[in-house]
Amino acid sequence: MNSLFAAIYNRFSSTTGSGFYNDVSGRMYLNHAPQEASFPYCVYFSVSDIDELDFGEEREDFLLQFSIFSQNNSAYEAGTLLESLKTMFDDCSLTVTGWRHLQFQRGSVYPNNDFDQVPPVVGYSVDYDVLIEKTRT
Amino acid sequence: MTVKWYGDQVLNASKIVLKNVSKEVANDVMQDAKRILKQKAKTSTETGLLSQFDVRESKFKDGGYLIYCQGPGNYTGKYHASFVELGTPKKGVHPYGNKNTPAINQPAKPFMRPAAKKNKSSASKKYQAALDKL
Repeated sequence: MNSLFAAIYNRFSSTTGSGFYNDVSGRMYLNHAPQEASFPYCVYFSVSDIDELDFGEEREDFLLQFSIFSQNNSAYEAGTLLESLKTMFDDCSLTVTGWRHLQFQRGSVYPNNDFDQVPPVVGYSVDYDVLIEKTRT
Repeated sequence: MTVKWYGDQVLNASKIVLKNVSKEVANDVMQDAKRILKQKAKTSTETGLLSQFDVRESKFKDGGYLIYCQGPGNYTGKYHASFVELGTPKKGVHPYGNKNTPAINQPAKPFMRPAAKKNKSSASKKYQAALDKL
């Protein structure tokens, strides 16, 4: 699992100065964001991991969630973040140490807002289905 | 020579069987969701969700069943199932929308999606086994 998370972060950080990395100013955190982190930011974590075995292969089927949050009077920034997240990760190809990466497919997108805040927090939670496999040893 | 093929009867029988299996799978998903939530829940607010599950037949054209947590009939004015499932942003956000408690970061504790994903492959086998018995 660590190698998958590392591969995701490597893809994220390989595009400094442009795209999603630039839009969140490099603030993408694994599992949870520090309390002092500034908006906008992204948190990614594993929702579930199912291990599938057959005679020759071991396959890991992950459901990953990327949550993006923006605190802004306009929903435009969150919308831009969502689009740049999709551009970076939809059907991307990752280099996962020790594994063959097969799929990175976007699933559901859920709004995750808190309009009680001033300015309001606008966010999205995005699911990705990720498949990796390796030869059984 | 005439062979009469009762295609409609076979189709109707298949629909009934598949509907029963769908309901069974939906109940399996709900039980797994409860089990996962029970493992992850740490506060009374979270464990309180355990009594707010429900399975209902979908009214959408494609049919099927819906698994609710705080769905219609179980909605009591407080809503926090989605905050537990998806997590909340950190700053200034009150846990589960309760403004009387201090604002903190609430990491996600997914329970619905892992349950659905876990049952995906076993559901296919159940449908196949039920159709084989026809």
